[in-house]
Amino acid sequence: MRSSTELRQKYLREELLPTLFCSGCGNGQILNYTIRAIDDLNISQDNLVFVSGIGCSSRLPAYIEADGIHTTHGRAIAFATGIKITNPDLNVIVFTGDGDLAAIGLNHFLQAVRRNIGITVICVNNETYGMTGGQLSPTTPVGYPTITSPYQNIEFAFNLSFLAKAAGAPYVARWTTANSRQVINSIKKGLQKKGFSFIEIISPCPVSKKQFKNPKDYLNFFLNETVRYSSNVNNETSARMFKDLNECFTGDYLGKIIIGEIVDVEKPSFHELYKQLKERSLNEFWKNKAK
Amino acid sequence: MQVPTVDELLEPKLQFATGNEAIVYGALLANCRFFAGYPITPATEILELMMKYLPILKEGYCIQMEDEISSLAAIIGASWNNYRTMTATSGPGFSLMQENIGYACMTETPCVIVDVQRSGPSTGQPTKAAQGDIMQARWGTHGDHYIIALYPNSIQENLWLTIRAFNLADKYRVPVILLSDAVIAHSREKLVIPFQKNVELAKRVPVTIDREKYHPFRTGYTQSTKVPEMDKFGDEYYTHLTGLTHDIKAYPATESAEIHEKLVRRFYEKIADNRQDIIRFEQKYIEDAEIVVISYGISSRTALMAVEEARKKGLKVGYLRLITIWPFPHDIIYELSNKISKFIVVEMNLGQIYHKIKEHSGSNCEVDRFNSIGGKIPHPKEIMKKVKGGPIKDEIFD
Amino acid sequence: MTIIITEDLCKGCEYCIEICPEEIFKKSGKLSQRGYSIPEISNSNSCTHCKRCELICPEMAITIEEEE
Repeated sequence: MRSSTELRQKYLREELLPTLFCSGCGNGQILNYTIRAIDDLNISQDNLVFVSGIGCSSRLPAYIEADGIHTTHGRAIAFATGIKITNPDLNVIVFTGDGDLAAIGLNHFLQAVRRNIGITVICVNNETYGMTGGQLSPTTPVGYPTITSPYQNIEFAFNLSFLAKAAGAPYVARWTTANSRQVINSIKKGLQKKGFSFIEIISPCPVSKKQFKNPKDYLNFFLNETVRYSSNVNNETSARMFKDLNECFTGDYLGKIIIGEIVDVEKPSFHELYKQLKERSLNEFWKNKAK
Repeated sequence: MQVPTVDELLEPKLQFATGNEAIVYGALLANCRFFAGYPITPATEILELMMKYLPILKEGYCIQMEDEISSLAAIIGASWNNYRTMTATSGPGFSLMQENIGYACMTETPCVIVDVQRSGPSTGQPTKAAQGDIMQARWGTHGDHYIIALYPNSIQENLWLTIRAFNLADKYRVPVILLSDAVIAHSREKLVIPFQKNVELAKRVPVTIDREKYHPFRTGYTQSTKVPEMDKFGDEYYTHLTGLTHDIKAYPATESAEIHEKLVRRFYEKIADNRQDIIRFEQKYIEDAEIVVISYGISSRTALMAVEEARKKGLKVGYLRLITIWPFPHDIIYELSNKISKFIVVEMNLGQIYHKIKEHSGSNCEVDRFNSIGGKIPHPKEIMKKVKGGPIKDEIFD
Repeated sequence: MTIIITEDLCKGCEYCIEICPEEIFKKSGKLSQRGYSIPEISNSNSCTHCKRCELICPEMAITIEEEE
């Protein structure tokens, strides 16, 4: 494992550092983890494209020495779809936030999962719209006060990983910024997966969120209040876990953060199937020509 | 199994084809190999044909996306893999695409957006022609930006203007809007499909500078135009793109008024400086004309009939058809306004190009208009009435 | 084990202070050039080379240098 100094020199546009992120921001940690994952896998920077939408997490591509495209709000995955389809050999990584992904971008997210496009989506979920000051987002837990829910949030929150699982993603992992090594391993697994991979990382937002006063309080919260789901148990338990989706939001799990590798299966990717489609189209063309 | 050439795919070479079909053939001849779209009347056939043809061709991909917003997003992304890309839609979808059109302008991404106009506003009359998106094509997206818009009026011209759209997009690194309408899209006329070797294709400004000196948005390395060199994703030259105001390295630079002005003015200048190359129009019976009928697209077909009828009757009427709608050909308007007594602007809307004509003819001559909406193509007899001296409309629809 | 903190990058979030199992990092009261309160290293001999600090730092400002 290379040192931070070496990694910064190799992968970051050092002239832009320090980043614009606030003290203790999860985005910086996720940048750290992503670069380490890429380095461990020996992925060439020539073969990488970072795609992002709008928000704090979407500022990440500018810092990385690689091709990057900082697009419009919620549409990163649609841009990434076009990029990946026309060059399936590229490693396409999407940085997005909970607002960018689950509000305005929800449809594009679920459709890309459905199509099993081979991109890796890293969602920095701080349960708020951080860049604009802390408004409620589709992942803000019910009951929380935010700047657009001054009388408490009365809307229930999505669990983005479960959404991805329901839409059919072959790799879904959910961690917090405190689970350093697990995040790195999941990003590596995601990059190696042929189809769609989704890594959701619960992150702090020390400035816009009012949950805690200091960044280190978030760190302790993440370390103490998480409940880990593991798929490496017998079938009965996994089945109960999935059947008990609702229980995750009530009873013992209420207020806890569920982490773990939610899904890890094999499924034919869009590109594999498109390759077969192209063969079929050629067959039909020549068949019709012969007539 | 052998992959056919475009020439082998597009047979026979003489067809009785629709406007939408001609657009597809033109795109394939222009080497468009990625299309993303969403079904919408009256543009759906373009998507259907692309879904049928593109997989057959080498490295050709076509996808039906979940909406028009993502369709345009996908083609912008794919354009950066050195692909010529296109999408097609109509009014409601065109409205949805506006944000990403602005993004394509800001990142100077070449792509072709077909808008087969139908009667609006809103859901309107899906199967009827209209010309209500003319101003939207220019100003639909927010902020200062510049685009190119072309509008053919025959099936054959659909094919050639599609090829030209791709060439202009690549040459000037700008999204090009190819306008059409429900009538031309679905009418059939004789279409001659050229061999690909007879089709001239423009190229994107190639990257010639060393990797260490490469800045994605700097111009003037090897040519004096204001169009930056365009690299692609996936090689050792790294390109960062952003919709934020950016410097030549494409790093966000939102705090500098100077950088912003320089960037946005360059978007204008790269097009405005090359008006001669970009603008096309068609003139007939102009030399001794006292009245000139101006039109474009489907209305120009009947406008020409009216003008020729008028000439038979001895009236000194001329005909001007806009082929490039944006940038607007104000030079010819100004020039003619000094020679004639009246323009009559024939459009299938309540007056959109009318305002541009009025703006550029000033007080030099009168400007009247003939508007026909509801899917009614302007009738030559009605246009004749206007030519013969019908009352000048003085309502100002603004 | 040399623990290097690139002071110019540190934003004083104190994650390293919280995460280190040997409590090597401490609040120093010293301010960086940018005005952030940066940590100081108290007993680098206790470092077990777990590198949790290197991983947790949002600015990648900590490098653990291995001694030959």
